[in-house]
Amino acid sequence: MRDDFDSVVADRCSAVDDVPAPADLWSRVQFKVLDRLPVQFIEEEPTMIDLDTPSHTDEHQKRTTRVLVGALLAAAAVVAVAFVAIRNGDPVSPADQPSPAVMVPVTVPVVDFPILTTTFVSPRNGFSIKHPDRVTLTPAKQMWGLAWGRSFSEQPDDGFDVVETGVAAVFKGVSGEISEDAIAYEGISIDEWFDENIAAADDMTPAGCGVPRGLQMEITIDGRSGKISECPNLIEATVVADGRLYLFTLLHDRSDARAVFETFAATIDLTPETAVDFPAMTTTFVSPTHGYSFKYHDRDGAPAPATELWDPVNQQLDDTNLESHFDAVETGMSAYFVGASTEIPDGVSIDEWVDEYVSPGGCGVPRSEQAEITIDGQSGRIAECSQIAATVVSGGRLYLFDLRHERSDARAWFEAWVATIDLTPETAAVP
Amino acid sequence: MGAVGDQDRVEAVFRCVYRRLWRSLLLFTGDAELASDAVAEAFAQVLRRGDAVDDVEAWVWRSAFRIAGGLAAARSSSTDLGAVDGSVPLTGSLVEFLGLLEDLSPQQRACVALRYVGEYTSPEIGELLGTSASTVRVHLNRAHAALRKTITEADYA
Repeated sequence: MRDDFDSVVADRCSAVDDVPAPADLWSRVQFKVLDRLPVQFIEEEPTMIDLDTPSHTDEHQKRTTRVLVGALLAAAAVVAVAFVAIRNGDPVSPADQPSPAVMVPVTVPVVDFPILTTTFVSPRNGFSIKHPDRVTLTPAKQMWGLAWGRSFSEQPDDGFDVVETGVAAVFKGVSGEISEDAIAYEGISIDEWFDENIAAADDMTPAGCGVPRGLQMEITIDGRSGKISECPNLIEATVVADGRLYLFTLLHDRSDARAVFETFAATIDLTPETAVDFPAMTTTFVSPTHGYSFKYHDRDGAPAPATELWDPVNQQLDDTNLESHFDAVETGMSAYFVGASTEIPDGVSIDEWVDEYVSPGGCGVPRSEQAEITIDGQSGRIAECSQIAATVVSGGRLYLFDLRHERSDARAWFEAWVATIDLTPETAAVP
Repeated sequence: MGAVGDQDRVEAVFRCVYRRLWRSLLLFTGDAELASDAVAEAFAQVLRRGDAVDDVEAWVWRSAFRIAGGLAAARSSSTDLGAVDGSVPLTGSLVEFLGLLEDLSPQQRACVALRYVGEYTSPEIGELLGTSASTVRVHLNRAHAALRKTITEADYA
């Protein structure tokens, strides 16, 4: 991004070069280290907080409380097991005692539960599972927003696949992309990351039943080692597979819930390669200028509409003026959608005209050699390079829809977006 | 690496980057005292982590901006608004420019600070802020658009 205004901003910013940085900064660093001053905030990035850093903030008090509750629960479990063992007269040696880190496994045979016969394939979350025939299925409709930086309690309910069995057990499954490299970069483990970003973020029903993930029991799901926790009316398991965190829960009112959960879990196939990591687009944007509408996801606000007409013959587009002529959607997820349309001059060859005036939107590939795509019933062309650009003609107008991105699933997202487009050339603004 | 080795390693990075980092944070927050706090907290945290952090410089830049963003948000909602370190002299033109930057979003301000003072490229800024280079370019583009308007208005006022 380079324009003549760049040097103006650089010049203004250079005024800060004349400001001397405080000379005592290193002393302040050492003072903080020695005095172990509390981290004063950081709600957005809790992983930045040292777990053992004392804090007086409410958030840290809550986390501390949760850790204490988890420790107390674990300790209570140890006492309970020891108490039962002693009452039964069994010899108790230190080696027999469960680690405080392990919750008490209570496996009760399934008493009365329908056979799991039918396979459900999640449309978004990258797994399949078997369930009884007569259940109420609610497939996920939205992305579970780990990538959005939302806390656990802020996740959309419709991100979960839900199996309501009708026999006092509701099974839910969801998954989200995580960056194991980024977590390693933070210098913490997956368990620590989970406790900070998922479990500790929920003020209503603590994930992991309030037990730190590193202290939970192990469970194997589709050959992957995960963790499982139990608390009243809730069983919860998490497992990481190929950069995805899966969360499976069973809400129940059954004495054999653990066995029911394990029966479900044994049928799970994890298929992270089939997961969808872009949001469903549900809100309609009607272009005030270009004669179309499309849908978008409204988390980051409405699209920015174009303020000027698009005249590719007389305007050279670059990053600095793109937004003036194009309707734009900044997703905040490394994907930037733009769209525009313009009247096609009479008597020109569409392909040649596009090649001459609209490229490099076509990635340098002649339009006649580009792949075909259908947009709102009209046959168009699509090219893909560092961006994805599609052109289509309707009502004497050329439409250009473009995605600038840094995503491996950009084509799938683009096609999902394009499928929401309605072309209405009769509503386009005319110069 | 031992504690002393970590201390030396972190201090070497500090000596190398603290002026540029502090000035970037000053541009980002408009608050000299807050910038100092964020720098000190980021380096204190990396020292506490010992050898768990490989790339101290990148970690500190990223953390300092997050800390500063959080401190600024907390400060704006408290009664301690506009706390300024009186020992740091700011010129009139800088104060005026910091005022213009206040109208930008935090992301746009961060991108401007990291680009023009931190001297990072868009892909590097994207890595530091946990976003993509294209998103950084969009933030810079929007920051330019907003500043172009306000600087022009200020010039003609």
